[in-house]
Amino acid sequence: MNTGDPLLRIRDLHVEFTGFRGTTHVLNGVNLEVRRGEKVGLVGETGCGKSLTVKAVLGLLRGPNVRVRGEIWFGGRNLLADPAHELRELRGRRITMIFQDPMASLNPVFTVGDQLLEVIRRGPGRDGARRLSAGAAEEKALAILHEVALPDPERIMRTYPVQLSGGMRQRVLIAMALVNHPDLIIADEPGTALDVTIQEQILRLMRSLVEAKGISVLLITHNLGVVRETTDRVYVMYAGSIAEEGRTADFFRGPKHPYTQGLLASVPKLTGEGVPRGIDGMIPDYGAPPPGCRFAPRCAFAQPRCQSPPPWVNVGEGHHVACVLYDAEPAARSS
Amino acid sequence: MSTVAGTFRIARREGAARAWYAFSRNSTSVAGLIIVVVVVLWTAFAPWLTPFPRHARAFTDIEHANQPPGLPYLFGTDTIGRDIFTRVIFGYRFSLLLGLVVLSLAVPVGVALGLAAGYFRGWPETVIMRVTDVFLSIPPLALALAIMAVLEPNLQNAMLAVSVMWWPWYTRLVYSLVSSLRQEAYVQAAEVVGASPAHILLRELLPNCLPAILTKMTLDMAFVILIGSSLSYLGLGVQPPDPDLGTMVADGAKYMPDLWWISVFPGLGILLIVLGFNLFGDGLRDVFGVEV
Amino acid sequence: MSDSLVRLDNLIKHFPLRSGFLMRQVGSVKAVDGVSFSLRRGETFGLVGESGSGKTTLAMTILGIVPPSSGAIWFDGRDIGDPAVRRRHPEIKKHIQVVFQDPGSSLNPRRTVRQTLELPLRVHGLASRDGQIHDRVARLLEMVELPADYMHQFPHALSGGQKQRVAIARALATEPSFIVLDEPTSALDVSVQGKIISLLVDLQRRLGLTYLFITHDLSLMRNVADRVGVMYLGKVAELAPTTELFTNPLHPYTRMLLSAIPVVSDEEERLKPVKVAPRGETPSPSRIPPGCSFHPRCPEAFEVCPRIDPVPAPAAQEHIVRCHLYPGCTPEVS
Repeated sequence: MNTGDPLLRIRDLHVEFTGFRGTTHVLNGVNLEVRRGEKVGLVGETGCGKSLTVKAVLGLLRGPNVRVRGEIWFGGRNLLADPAHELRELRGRRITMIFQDPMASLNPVFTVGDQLLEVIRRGPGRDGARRLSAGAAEEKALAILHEVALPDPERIMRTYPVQLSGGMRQRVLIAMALVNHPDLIIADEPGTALDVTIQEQILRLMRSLVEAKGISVLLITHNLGVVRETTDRVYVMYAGSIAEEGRTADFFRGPKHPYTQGLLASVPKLTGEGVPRGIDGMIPDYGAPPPGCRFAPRCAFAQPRCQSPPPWVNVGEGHHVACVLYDAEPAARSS
Repeated sequence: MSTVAGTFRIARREGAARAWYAFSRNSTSVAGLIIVVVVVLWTAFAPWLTPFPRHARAFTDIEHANQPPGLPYLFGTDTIGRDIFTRVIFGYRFSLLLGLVVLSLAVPVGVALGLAAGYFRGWPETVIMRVTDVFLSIPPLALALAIMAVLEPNLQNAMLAVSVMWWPWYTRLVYSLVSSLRQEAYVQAAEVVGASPAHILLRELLPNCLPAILTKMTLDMAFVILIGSSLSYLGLGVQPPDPDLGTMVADGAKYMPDLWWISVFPGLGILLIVLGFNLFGDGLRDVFGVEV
Repeated sequence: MSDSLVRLDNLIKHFPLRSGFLMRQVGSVKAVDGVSFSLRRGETFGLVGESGSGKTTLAMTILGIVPPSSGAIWFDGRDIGDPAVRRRHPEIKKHIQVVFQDPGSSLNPRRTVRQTLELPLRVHGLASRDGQIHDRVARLLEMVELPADYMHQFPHALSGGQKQRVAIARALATEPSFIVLDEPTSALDVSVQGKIISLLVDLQRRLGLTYLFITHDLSLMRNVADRVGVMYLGKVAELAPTTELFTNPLHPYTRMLLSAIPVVSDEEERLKPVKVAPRGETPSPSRIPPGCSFHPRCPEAFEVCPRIDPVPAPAAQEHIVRCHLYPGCTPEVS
C-alpha cells in the first residue's frame, strides 16, 4: 500500500499575511506526507489552517499580501518554486479536488455532460494521446458516471446540476475528479452538506474507487468519525501546525496530544455518557501568537518548556506528537 | 478595562479604520475621493478662492472679452469678458446642488417604496414594482425633457424633473436586496420575538441596505450632474447669467473651434467631477462588496 | 396529559406547487403530513430527520413563521397554529422562542449585541428606560457566561460560540417556557459544541425550560434528549425514550440512520445496529411514494408496504412505531 517515496511531501510550510493589523503568521511549519495509494486525513477545527494548506499545495496563495516559505514536493518537483502556469498543468490532471459544496463548484448554466467532457478533454488520454475524439470522450464520460453508481448515465449527461439531488451532484464531482486518473485527490469535507445516510454511501464509494485505482487521497475534515472510517493515517492540525500524526487505528485507540485528547473527548458518544465538555479557551490570535507551542495557553498540562517550539516525538510506529510531555530526553531530540 | 461606552466607540472606530485601510489600498479610488473633496471645498469657498468672484454674476468687460487662456485669466474669457476659470468653479455649485437636491428627494422615496415592496409582497409589491418598471423603461433624459416641456425652464424645475425620474432606481435596488435579506435568520428571529414591521424595515433591513445605497448615491452624483448639465445645455436648466457648466458649454459651442476655451474648459470641468465621483463610488463598491 | 406543554394534533403543512402561465396548482410539497405528539413540561424532546423530513417546517409552524394547512398546535389551552389566535394574543410570542442554526446569520451584522438583545425587551414592554435595559442586558449576558461589556460589540467581532451564546440570551430575554432549538450547534466546532450544550442543559435545569431539540447529529441526540422522534417525509416514523430508541430501534429507517453514523471508537461501533447499508436517497416531498413512503428504500419491505400507509401504534413502553412489521400498524382496509 505505501511503498517508496511519498507522492506529496510538505516540508516546514509557513504562510504569513500582511493586512490591516500587521502581519499574521498562520501556518507555522506544517509537515505532511501522502504516500502512493494512501488515504490520509487532515483534521482540524475552524481557523486551524487546513484550507490554507490545501491552497498552498494548489498554488492558489499568490499575491502581494502573502508570504509562503517552505517546500511542497510533488512528483519530484517543488511546487512552491514553480511558475504559475506549470502548476495549472498539474491542477486538474495529477492533482484534482473535490469541494465541499457541489452546488458551488458545478456551473449551473452548463449540463453535467458539458462540464464532464471539458474535464476529460483537458486531461491526457491514458493511452498517451493528447486529444481524444469526441466519441471516445463521450464513452469515457459515460463509463465514469456508471462507476460512481449514477443511474441512467446518458440522461444524467443532459441534465443541469440544479436538477440533481445533493448526493448525485457529489457523485458527479467525484466522477470529475477521478476521470483523468490523477495521482492525488484532495477532498475538502466531502459529504458534509449531505444527509448522513447519503454521506455514508458517498464515502464508501470514494473509498472503493480510489482503492481500486490506486489513487491517493488527502481528506480534509473536522469530522473525526469520518476520518476513522475512511483513512489509513491521520494528521491533526492546530493553529497552523501539526499536533499529532499516526495510523488511524492506533490514533483513535490512544491519542497522545492534549489537544487531540480534548477533541476526541468533545465528540458526543453513542454510549450515552453525557454531554461532552469541550475545550476551554479559543484559538490564538495569529497576529500575536504564543511563542513555542500554540496550544499551551489552553493546555491543562502546560509547563515552562512549552514556551519553546515543541519537539516532534516518536511515540509508536508511525505515531508522532508535537508535545514536551512525551519528550523523555530533552537533550537527545529525535528529528 | 475600558468603559462600557468606550468599548462601543472603539468598535465603531475600528470598523471605520478597517474600511479606510481597504479603501486606501486602491489608488484610483483615493484619487476620486481627492478630486471630489477638492472640488467641493473649492466651490464652497469660491468667493475667496477665485480670482474674479464678481464675474460669476451679471458682469461685462468687453475690453477683455475673448481672451485666450493665460494670465490673469487662466481659462480665458468669454464673449462678454468674464473669467472662465472663476465661472467654472462657481458653476460646480449648481452641479453639486442639483445632485444633492435630487438625491435628497429621490432616495428616501425610492428606498421607502423598495422596502415596502420587498417586505410586504402581495399587492403592494405588484403595484409598486409595476409602476417602477414603467418609469425605468423610459430613457432618463427623454423623461426629463418631457417633464421640462410642460414646466417653466429654471433650476428648481430641472431638479424636480430629475428627482421624479430618479427614485425608481433605488426602489429596484432596495427591493432586490430586501427580497433576499428577508429570508435571513435574524429577520426571522426578530419576527419570532414579535417586532413590528416598522422595526424590521427600519432597524433590521435598512441598515443592511445602506452600503449599497450609499455606493449608488455616490455613483449617481456623477450621473445626475451629467443629466443636469445636459438639461442646461439645452437651455432647460440654470438660466443666465448664473454660471452653469452645461450652459457654458452650450454658449461656447457656436464659437468652436476658434474660441475653443469657452466650451472646452467647462466641459473638462464636467468630466473631472463626474470622473471623481465615479472613481470614488467604484472604490466604495469594492470596499463594501456590493453589486450595484 | 396535564403536564404536556405543547401538543401537536395531526399537523399538516402542504406547500402548493404552481406551474404554467396561469400558475395553476400542479401538485404540492407535503412538508409535514400528519404529525401528532406532545412535549412534556421540562423535557428535551429531540426531533431527528434528514433533508425532506419536514422537521424544520414543523418548527416554523410552531413558531408561527408559517401557518399550518390543517391540524392544531395546542399551547396553554389555545391553538397557536391559528393566525387569528396569535393576533389576538401577542403574549404567546413571549413564551415560545427560538435559537437558530447559524449564529452568523441569526444576528443582524449591523446591530450591536445590546441592540439585538434589547429588541425583545422593548417589544414586550419588559424594559424601556436606558438604565433598565442596560441592567437586563447585562444580566442576560451573565446568564450565558459572557462579559457585560460585550454588549457593545458587533457580531463580526465574536467567535461562533460567542455569537450562539448571544442568540441564546436573546431567546431567554422574554423568560419563555418553551424554546425551539434548530440545530443549535451544527455550525460550531466540536470543541465549542460541548460548552454550548452544557450551557443549554444548565439553563434548562435552572429555569425549568422545555426544549424541542432538532438535529441530524444522532450521537448528540443520544446525550441530550429525553425522548426522540424520528421523522421521514413529513411523518413520524418512530418515537421513544432516548435510551430505548438507541438500544432497541424498531423502524427500518431508524436502523438505517443509526448504522450510518460515523463513530470514533470501537465501543460505539459495537453499539450500532447490524449494518443496514443505506440505499437510495430521500425522494422529494412533492413526489411521496404510495403506501409507506419509505418502502422503496426499505430492506424489509413486503407485500403490503407499497399499498397501505402504516399508522402509528405502541410497540413497547412509551415506544411508538409506524411500520407494517409491527402489530397494530396495518389498518383494516375493506
